[in-house]
Amino acid sequence: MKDQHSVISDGIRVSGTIEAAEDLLIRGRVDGDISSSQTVLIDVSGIVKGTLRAQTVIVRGVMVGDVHTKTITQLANEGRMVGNIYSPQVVLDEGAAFRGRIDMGEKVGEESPSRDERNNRFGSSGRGSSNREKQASPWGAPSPSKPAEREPAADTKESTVVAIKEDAPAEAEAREKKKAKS
Amino acid sequence: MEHTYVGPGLMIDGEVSGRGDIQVLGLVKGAVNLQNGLFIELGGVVEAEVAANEVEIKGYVKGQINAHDRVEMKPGGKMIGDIRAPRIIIADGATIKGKIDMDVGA
Repeated sequence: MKDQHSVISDGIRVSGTIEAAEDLLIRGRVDGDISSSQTVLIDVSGIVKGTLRAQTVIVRGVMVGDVHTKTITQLANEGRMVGNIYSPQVVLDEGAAFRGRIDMGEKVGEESPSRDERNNRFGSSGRGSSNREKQASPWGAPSPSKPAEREPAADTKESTVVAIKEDAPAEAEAREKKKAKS
Repeated sequence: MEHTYVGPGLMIDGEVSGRGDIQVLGLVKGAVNLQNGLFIELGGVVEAEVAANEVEIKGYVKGQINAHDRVEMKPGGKMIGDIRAPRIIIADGATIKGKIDMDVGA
């Protein structure tokens, strides 16, 4: 969580919708939908009933309803949740209670984004609602490997061959000429 | 007790109720029903029916305010709507359009 964030404290109840462009810490109760372009943290005393869309969601309290995130959903060890999680990365800590489906979408089988990529995305000001596109084919088959991935592999093979035949100067010369032409 | 902070990037549409102070720099629409204080800071907007113990306005309020204790309008504060409270303070530089009722027994 950044220093600048909104707080719904223990003892406060919000019945209605919340839209957030900054981090939100929930220690009270929210009955309704939340849409955030940043992080939503439901703390130990926090209760949310509704649909939650955000960049990142961390649940230490109680969440009842579906969670949609663009990066990661974490259910911490005291967290309890009933509902479905739609998120490219999901972490369920030991001790967390969960009932529902997990859908990591088309990302299944692919490498998870590096920390740098994640941080870059975190900085974007996209609205939570735009991740609807990703849900169009929840269990879509992993995309076939692109031809672009094969080309670099062929290059490495060629360079090994060059290394082996390096003591044949004539051939190396021919190769260099070829390179110069192209 | 930690107070509720509605930051400049937050919009709440609905009813906010309960115990504890609320500080508003963002937008609150609908209704506010509080046992403690509502503090509308510079830049904060409340478009709601407000019931609270105490209300302080440095930002903008559109709606009715019903305070158990007091309402204070600070310089720069803007209000469109009626205020009902036993104690009402309007500072020089605050603007209001609406009725004021201090519940004076006639």
